[in-house]
Amino acid sequence: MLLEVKNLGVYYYTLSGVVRGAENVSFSVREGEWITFVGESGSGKSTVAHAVINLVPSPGKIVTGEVLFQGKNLLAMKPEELRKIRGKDISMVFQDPMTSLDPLRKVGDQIVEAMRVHGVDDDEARQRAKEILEKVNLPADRLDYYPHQLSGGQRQRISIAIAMAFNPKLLIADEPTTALDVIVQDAIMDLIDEMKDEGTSIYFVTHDISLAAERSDRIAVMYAGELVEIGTTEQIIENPLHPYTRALVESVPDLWKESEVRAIPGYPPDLRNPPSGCRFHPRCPIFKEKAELKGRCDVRGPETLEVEPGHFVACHLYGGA
Amino acid sequence: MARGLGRYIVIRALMIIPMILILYTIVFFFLRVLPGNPILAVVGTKNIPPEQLAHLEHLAGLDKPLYVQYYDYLIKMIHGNLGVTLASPMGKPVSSYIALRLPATIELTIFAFTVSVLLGLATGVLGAVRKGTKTDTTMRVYSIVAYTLFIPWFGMMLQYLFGVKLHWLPTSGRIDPAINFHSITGLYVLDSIIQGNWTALHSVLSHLVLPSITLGIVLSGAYTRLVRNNMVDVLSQDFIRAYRARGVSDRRVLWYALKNAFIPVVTLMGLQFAILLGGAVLTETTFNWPGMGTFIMDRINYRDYNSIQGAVIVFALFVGLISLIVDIIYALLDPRVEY
Amino acid sequence: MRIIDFLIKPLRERKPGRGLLVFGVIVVLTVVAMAILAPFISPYNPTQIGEDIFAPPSLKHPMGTNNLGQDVFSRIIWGSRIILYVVAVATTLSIAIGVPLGLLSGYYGGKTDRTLSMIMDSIYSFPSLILAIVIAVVLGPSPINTAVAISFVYVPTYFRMVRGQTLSLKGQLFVEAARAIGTKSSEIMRKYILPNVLPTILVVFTLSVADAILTEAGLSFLGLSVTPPTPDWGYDLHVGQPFLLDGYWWLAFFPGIMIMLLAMGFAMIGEAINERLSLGTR
Repeated sequence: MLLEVKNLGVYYYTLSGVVRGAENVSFSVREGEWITFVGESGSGKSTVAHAVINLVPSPGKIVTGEVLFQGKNLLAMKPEELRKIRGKDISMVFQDPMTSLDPLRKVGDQIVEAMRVHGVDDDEARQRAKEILEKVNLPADRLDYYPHQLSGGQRQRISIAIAMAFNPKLLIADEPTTALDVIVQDAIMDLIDEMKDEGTSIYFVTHDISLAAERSDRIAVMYAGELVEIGTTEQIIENPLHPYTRALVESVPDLWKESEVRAIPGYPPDLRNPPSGCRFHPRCPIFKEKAELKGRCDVRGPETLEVEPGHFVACHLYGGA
Repeated sequence: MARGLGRYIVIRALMIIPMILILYTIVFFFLRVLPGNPILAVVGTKNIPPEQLAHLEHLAGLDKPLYVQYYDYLIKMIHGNLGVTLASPMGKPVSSYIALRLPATIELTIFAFTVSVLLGLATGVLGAVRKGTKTDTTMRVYSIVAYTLFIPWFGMMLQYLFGVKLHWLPTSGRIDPAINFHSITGLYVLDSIIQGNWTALHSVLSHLVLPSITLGIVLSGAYTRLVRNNMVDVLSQDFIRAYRARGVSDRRVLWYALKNAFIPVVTLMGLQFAILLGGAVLTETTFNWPGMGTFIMDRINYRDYNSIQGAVIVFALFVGLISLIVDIIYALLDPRVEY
Repeated sequence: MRIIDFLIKPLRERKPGRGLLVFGVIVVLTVVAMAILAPFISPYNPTQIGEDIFAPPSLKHPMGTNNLGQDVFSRIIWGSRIILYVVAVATTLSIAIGVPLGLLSGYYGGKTDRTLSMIMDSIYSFPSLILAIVIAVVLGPSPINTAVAISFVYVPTYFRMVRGQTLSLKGQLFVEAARAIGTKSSEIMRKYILPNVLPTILVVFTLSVADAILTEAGLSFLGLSVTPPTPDWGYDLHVGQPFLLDGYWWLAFFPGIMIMLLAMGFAMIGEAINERLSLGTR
């Protein structure tokens, strides 16, 4: 197993209270696979992605759990050790290409620096910078450009180029295409696919389930800071178990032809004070229909069960008793 | 790129001209058009023979029509001539006085400026990296308190503590008069270093400590606040986390953040410099510092309007030059500036 | 009124920054009360020369006496009147001139706007204290003249802010809509633009009052504001300076600390309101 996340919990200590950004999150990433995390904004999917390399933005803090990368707990590592893994074995691409490059430095310098911090000497780094720029289909002269001289798509290519520099074991891509238009989106997805072909595991985060369905091997669904369902792409799309996952899948017209586009009624809960029991119950259509679920869904949090091989769900509907 | 920058500098430099003209006009208006005869004010009595008054007015050029006076002075100004003193002693070129006094103010403001920027950066960065903690609140209160310190009072308290009570530092003047020292440029620190006169350098620096710390601390408050807010902003941006995610060390990341946070601070510097010069007048008066501020106050006692006018123009030129330099630094630092 | 809400609400709410506001309001109200109640709370006549000179602070003279035997505490109390009066008049004048000029200039634009902006920018970029000194010298020492001198240098502060806001508001939909249905310009400025500029004016007001207090104190410290024996904080500080070096610290200490407290009070209120409206700071 490349990456194992066990019982991860992240809280944000804000002025208006403690926001429970993620709780009880456990999953694993296999070598060479593409796993996609789906959820609404505020579902904790980005929080978990950042927690994996211990980069939760302030005022967030990782309060529980461990992140085992090739068997070693990243959260218990000395900063210097962790620094050697970041950017080399695990790379990250951020959502907004407008803000993820330093506006004051030439992109070439930023690419070269990313290699130099891991011991590549200057000449070699410059040479390799040109090569990887070619890989992401940018002319070599772009090295001398400042970020503001490039388009959003070009900047995202630069970010991916930096992420590719060491052929990492894991790429964490936090909504890398959200801020881009559709045609550029596709090209960026292709680049990530190429990285996968070269052996990198892809940890992809998106709010768009159709994008998730396109290329991933597995899909994980998050709601209100918790992992509610995880399975192969086929399992999730063809046989969604959790009512929330169903709603997500149904909300995409092409995937579920006979039904109309449906938004999920209600709003995600306030994570300073999450609902008791299953966090989805106030919005759950089944809970509303079935009176016998009262006293269960709204009281006790559901266990995570393996309903079919490799398909896990956290929902009382599948809990038997 | 280099040619573009050259052009930019020339255009920016030309923009100083209207500013100086406007200030000249305002001051000329206030000093000449408002009621009151400057000569009578100087002499202090109305009982002087009319022919002597006429002679004095002629000497000062006050017998000509206003617009001629305005024009004459303007032409002189372009040639670097700021007119002659109207009093005590009369008829001396104003520029010769200013040449004596200006270096003292430049020296004081350079030191005070350095103190204010360094203090502002340190306190601002500290507040930002400890955002939301007691340290942050302390830095915030520091910023307000420093900003509202009244320069003469603060200066006096330092004089009392370090001069009267502890006898550590001198409280007035630029140098111990007992030291044999000959100034070339008027910048005493520079002169004493050039001449290798270490006794003088020691004295000059110890005289500089209290005035420049007084002025520097007061001016640092505005930087503290701006640096802190910019730094918090920058630190929350993706590129900072992207650097970390690439394995760049925390110290380097902080350095890059500081560079980004510094850019808006550069733009503040021009404006702060004007406030610094205003504060210098109070600092000079408090510490008996023979600079432009005390020069203006001396001349005010003699009602020497020509000298005051000359001093204001020099101040305007000073402010204009500083804002030009600030803009050039800004253009060099920030690749996003188009020129 | 909504403007008052900006003050009242944050005073009640337990949010960070409340401490600043509470401190500011208490200080300012205390000084205002001092000024109003001066005849009743002042233990001595502030200009009364006495034989008991350089008396250190005691029960009889809480802040000691000065070189003329005047009671420093009484001079502090009466001195609050001058500084508040000068700053109030100066600020009113600057607002009365700067706000309408900025509104008209920003709204109509054109050549006048450009010329006016250039003049205002020139004054703004020049050291305000030095300009105020020149004007105060020409006008002669009196509180009203000091107020005029100070008001002159703060006009650009209001002008620039109001002009900038007017420019951006002018392009907004609700203003364009009003124009499209033929609303008169004067009405647009009064009903649509001015109310939206008011909160910013409030912030600039509280922050520039702090500045104006320091400028007033500066002018009177330099001897350009009042003539003796009028009690005035800045002037008393000036008088106290030579004696401070002889060890009579109370002559200078108390007037100076009052100047700072008052300026700080306004700055803290400004800071709190600013945060409330989140104009540029977090």
